[in-house]
Amino acid sequence: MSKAGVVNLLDLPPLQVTGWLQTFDTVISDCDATLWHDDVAIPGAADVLNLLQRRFGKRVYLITNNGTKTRQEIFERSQRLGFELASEAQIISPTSTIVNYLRQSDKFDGKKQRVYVVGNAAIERELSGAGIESFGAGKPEQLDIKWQDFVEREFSTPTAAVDVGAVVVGWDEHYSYCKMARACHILTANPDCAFLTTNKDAVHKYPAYHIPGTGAFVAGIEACAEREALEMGKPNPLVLEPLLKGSALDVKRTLMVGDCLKIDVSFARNCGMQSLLVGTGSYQLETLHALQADSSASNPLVPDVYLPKLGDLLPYI
Amino acid sequence: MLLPRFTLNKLLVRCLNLTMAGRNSQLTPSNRSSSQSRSSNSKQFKQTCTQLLDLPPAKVTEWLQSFDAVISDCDGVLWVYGKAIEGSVDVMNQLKSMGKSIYFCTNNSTKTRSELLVKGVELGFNIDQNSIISTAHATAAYLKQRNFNKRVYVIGSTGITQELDAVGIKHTDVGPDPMPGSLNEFMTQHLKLDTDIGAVVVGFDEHFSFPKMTKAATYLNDKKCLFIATNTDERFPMPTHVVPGSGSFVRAIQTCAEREPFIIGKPNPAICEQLIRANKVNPARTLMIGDRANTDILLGYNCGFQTLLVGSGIHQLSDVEQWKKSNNPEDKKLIPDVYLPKLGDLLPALLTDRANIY
Repeated sequence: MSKAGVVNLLDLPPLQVTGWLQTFDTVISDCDATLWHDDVAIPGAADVLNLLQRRFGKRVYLITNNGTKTRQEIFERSQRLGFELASEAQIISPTSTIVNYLRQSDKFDGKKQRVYVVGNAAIERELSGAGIESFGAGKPEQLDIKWQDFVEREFSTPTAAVDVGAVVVGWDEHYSYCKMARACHILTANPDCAFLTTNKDAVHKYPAYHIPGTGAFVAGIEACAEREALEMGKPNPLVLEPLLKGSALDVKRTLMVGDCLKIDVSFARNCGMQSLLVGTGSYQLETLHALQADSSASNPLVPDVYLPKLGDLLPYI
Repeated sequence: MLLPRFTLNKLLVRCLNLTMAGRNSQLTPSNRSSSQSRSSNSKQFKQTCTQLLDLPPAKVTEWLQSFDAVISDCDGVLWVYGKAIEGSVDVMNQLKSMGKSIYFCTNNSTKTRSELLVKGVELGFNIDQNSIISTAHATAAYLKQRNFNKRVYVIGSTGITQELDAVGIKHTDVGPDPMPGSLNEFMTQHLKLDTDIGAVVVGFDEHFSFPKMTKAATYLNDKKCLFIATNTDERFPMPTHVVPGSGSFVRAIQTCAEREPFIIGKPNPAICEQLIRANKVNPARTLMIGDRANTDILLGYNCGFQTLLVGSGIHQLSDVEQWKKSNNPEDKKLIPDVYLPKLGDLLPALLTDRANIY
């Protein structure tokens, strides 16, 4: 199969699609806009993944950059929407990647250290489930005094940063100056402190509004702390490490399915996996062709294959 | 024997007049051609980080005579937070009485020019409002010059809004804008967008919040909407703590807006544009004094000024050593011509200079 351009599987003779189905043993699929839109399944997606497991014996994992739910909560949603997965171990999510990372880190001691979270309560729930103490998640913190007095009051004593072994940034609609200041204080006071983020999505675009993504929250803190946060989501290949170690994954025989060129296809490329882009998100075929025509990059981001939606595979399986 | 300062000043000016035979008594930029021979002296220190305290007095005097205007940063050079740095007041006032034009240039957008003037005068500096160059004022001037006639969405403080008021430009209010309820409630009930926003200005804002980020990102989706940052200093100068500065808020907004801002403040030479265009300063005979190389010294480089780095703020000699060793040509621009641990260290040389005139 040529890797040079975008191939719409629907344009290929059925025999070639069948042949393509045999080039991978594992499927890792994005969730939002690939398998479901919030709590509504995209037609055919569950059937395809279930059949690939049952009939073809392929392994299936779900991967998401959604840092507002724990791994267990995403697993429960997948069950509700008809996806047959053996357990939550088949879910790769930022909150669980963060827990894995801290557990295997030499510098973080979950028994003695706690985590400062600029983010939502799901991060705290996942950490707490792993016996790791955290503070700050899901709580508003606004200034009610002069900022100089706030800084003196909060950061003049060692207690603000003591025993804090990690700063985690996730989706936080209560993002504020106070939180930025506290994160910066902790990171500059403790050089060994881990600095993690669920993902670096810059913005979420809706017709009437553009909503800042976690990437924007973390960028503000990175600027002041003069440190880069480690991304615990796609397209960072670090996210695949537990799977590579634990289950002898062959990346060349693994198919990454997603709706986002910049995040899912680049994740596939970063890990050496094959890629299937589905048109149920922001990228349709016309957009892809336009991007290809525009791009002056020597190695533009192009998925191996394309389908309007994952359910379109059903006739072939 | 030291004469009273007032008498000393008058004598000094007379002596300067006498020693410069064949030239006008005032060292003004209009004497550019006749001062060319003097400005060649200023090149000997170019980007060498020469330590003024190590030079013989005659060399320091020569250096003092190589510039007619002084543009000084404030935080970390003249004062820290609320207190003047030792010797800064005396040095600046002496330089002024020697006939040099004095300007204070700050990236701090939280104060208007008149508020900065009040602060400077209270600390003892001999300045007037026209001596102050500030990003809040320069932002308003930038918009006014381009005949901006819409409304500005401001993420910042009253320092900015008052300067906009002064030139008659409409703007949104500053202050707290917290989440009123859940995300859904915010999006469906509370999020109100103005229809006449033509620019988003971002400066220092201790009330920075998610709602503000959402509004800015949405306004900036319109390519015609201007995106202006008062400055990009990532940390607010504070002696004992690392705290976010304007640059951190700007970085957050530029990330979700997926756009680069136009930066008003140092090191963008735009902040000195008016001074140079109006011939108020001759760049080769202008000294830029600062404590932060990537704003102050780089501004000096960009404008063709001479530069003095003081060690009383952000950057130190050890930083300069790194830039000297670096292969990156951008780092070379950060190396100052001369260095002092603090501005006040120039005082003995200034007083000796006077004594030697006799």
